[in-house]
Amino acid sequence: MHLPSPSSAPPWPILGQVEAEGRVHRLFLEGEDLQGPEDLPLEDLAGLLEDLGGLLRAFAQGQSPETPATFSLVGLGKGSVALDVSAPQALNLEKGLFLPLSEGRYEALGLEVREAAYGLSKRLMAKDWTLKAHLEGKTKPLLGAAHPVPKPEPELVLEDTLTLYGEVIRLGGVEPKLDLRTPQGEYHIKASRERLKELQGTLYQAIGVRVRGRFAREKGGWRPLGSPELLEVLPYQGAGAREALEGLASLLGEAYRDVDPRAFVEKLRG
Amino acid sequence: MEVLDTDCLIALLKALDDPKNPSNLAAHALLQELEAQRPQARLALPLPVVSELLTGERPDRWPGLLDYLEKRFALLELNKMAALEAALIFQGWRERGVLDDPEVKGQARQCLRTDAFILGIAIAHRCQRVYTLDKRLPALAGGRIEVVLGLPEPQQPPLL
Repeated sequence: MHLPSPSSAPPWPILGQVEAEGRVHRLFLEGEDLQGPEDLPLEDLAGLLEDLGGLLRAFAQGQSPETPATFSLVGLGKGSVALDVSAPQALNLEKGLFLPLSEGRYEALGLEVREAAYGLSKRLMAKDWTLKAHLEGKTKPLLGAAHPVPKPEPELVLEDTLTLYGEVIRLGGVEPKLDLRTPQGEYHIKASRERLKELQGTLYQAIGVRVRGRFAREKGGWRPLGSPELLEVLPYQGAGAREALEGLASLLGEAYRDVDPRAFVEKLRG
Repeated sequence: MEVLDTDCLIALLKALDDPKNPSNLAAHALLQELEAQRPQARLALPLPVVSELLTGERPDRWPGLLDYLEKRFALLELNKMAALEAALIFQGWRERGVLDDPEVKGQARQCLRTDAFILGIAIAHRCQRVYTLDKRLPALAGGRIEVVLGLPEPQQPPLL
């Protein structure tokens, strides 16, 4: 199998096999205690590769969401520790990712990429290590101790209403509040005593509420800033998937018996 | 929460209404898979899905249906966060040239619009995944939410 060459030939053999259309990028992990791969404990290498993989995947996802990209470690050598990473040929890592990181142009990167870069930078800083790349004829720091990536600020913060569905795990308190456990995490919701009275007897039960609060858009979704305020308790009583669907099917009777689901939707949306 | 797109919801309802019909076996398999893999799962319906579902019924029956849906399903609204998520999806398409594609016109474009709102609502409410029969949806979601496409193969009993 043909192996693509990195920008400068390595003094060590390239490990593993690379797809013919892949391109190898050499990165350098530097730190005072790193003279070569023998100084890099396996646990640290594993953590580093996981975070580096996450960063490259986040970048690839932003470039072409439809095409899953594969990255592989194809070489490891001195330099302090040199990592040869194979990436899809079509991805312009130098221009799209490495240069903005090196020049501190974080605004050129999407939030997911910034979050991933921040995570990797933090990991490297804890060891006093820096990750570098050969760019425009020089070896330049990308992230880590010598070039820390700032914590990304949420790109969007807004006030909004939101419906939440979950299990009541706490009610009341000196400052009246409702704690709701949802599949997305726990929400601590401010509520008036009158509103909380409506919820008496619902401890450990599924309920639905509408709240108002400030929310920040972050990786993984919208995070409430502070405690949202309870606006309304919804009629929701919860149900398992089958129970909910069986009840609805029985109410609808034969309404959808002869309907082709795909054609029905295409006709409505067309 | 598990979000059902209209096509998937109707397929599941058909399966429960007419369980012996062989064409409903795959939808049955999805329900069994849901129960087995996510026994605590709660079903959520974005309001555009509710709207589409109601069109299959007479308006005088809508209040009763809505009353039931509010009690048993998590109904998800198009709020500001959802509007922004949909806008980001539209923007992504524009940057990738999808909106300039002469093939994506009329019905296809209208479908994309509804898809974007459904995805935006699901993302804003931090739902786990969307179940759909719409082949475009996984690519449109762009990794912001998991999209489960199609119905699973029903388990066939051995011939002998």
